[in-house]
Amino acid sequence: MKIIYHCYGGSHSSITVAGIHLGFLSVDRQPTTEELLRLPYYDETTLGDHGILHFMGQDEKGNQVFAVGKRNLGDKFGPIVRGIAALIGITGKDLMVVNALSCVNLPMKVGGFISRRMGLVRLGRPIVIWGTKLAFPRMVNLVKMVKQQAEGETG
Amino acid sequence: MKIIYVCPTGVNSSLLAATLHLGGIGEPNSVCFNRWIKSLQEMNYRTQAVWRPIFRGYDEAGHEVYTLGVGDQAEVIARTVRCLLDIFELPASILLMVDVSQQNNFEIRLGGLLTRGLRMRALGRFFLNRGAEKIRLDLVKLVTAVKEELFS
Repeated sequence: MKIIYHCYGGSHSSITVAGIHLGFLSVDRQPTTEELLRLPYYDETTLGDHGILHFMGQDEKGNQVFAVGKRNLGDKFGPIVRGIAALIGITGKDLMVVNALSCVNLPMKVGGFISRRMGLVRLGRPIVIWGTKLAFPRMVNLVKMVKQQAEGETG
Repeated sequence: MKIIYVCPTGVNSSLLAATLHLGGIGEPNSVCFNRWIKSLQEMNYRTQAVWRPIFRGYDEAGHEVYTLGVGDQAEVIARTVRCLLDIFELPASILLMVDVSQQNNFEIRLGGLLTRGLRMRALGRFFLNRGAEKIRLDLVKLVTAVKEELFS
């Protein structure tokens, strides 16, 4: 199965959640700044990356995990992608589309905007990292739910 | 092959393009054109927007024609679809996405908003009619080019 985590820019929440899913980050404690910055694509994507499915890795069950930025599509992204996927023969057993935006808090939005949109990385990055650490428990819960659901679909 | 015409709501210019693709809508004020405007208005009245592909019919070569709303992010969705085809190792030729967002003019948007959001059907129909007349020729050109590419 392919699991796609999506958020606004595909740079923070979807990347962090994918990192948790793949075991890059420990679920027992808050990640350090260095651990977050080691995640591929964390606070690095640009406008041209939006829509591109970035491969993050393969989990312990063999599921491939991707992260993507969907801009302002919000809750519409899931139905649109699932609908198109169904047309080309990709079923719910082959694909899971997960909204990571539900984990995002205000510091992540503000810091992400300053760093990614305004290009002021030195100012925005510490704010978005602080927000990511605050949102971490919610992200861990999301991943737990996704893994349970994925197991149900494939098992 | 499946052809998906996309626009911001999936109920305006994409529906017009799909209808053209499936057999034309006739000249402005013809029975056929008026029937299309009526269906466009009904779609706007009943549906807020459609975020999944809606099957509209088969064209003369057996291609399946769909419409879909993608907000103002047609390019983002196009990139995702290209990646999906790639990671599932599917040929690009099974799907053609045609973005007709640019053809959605002010009158169409206003007509759709009046009908959908404010339930002002008569006024909405007036603007939809005017907007559809204006974009009709551009869409005819676009759909003709799509069909030429498909049938060549």
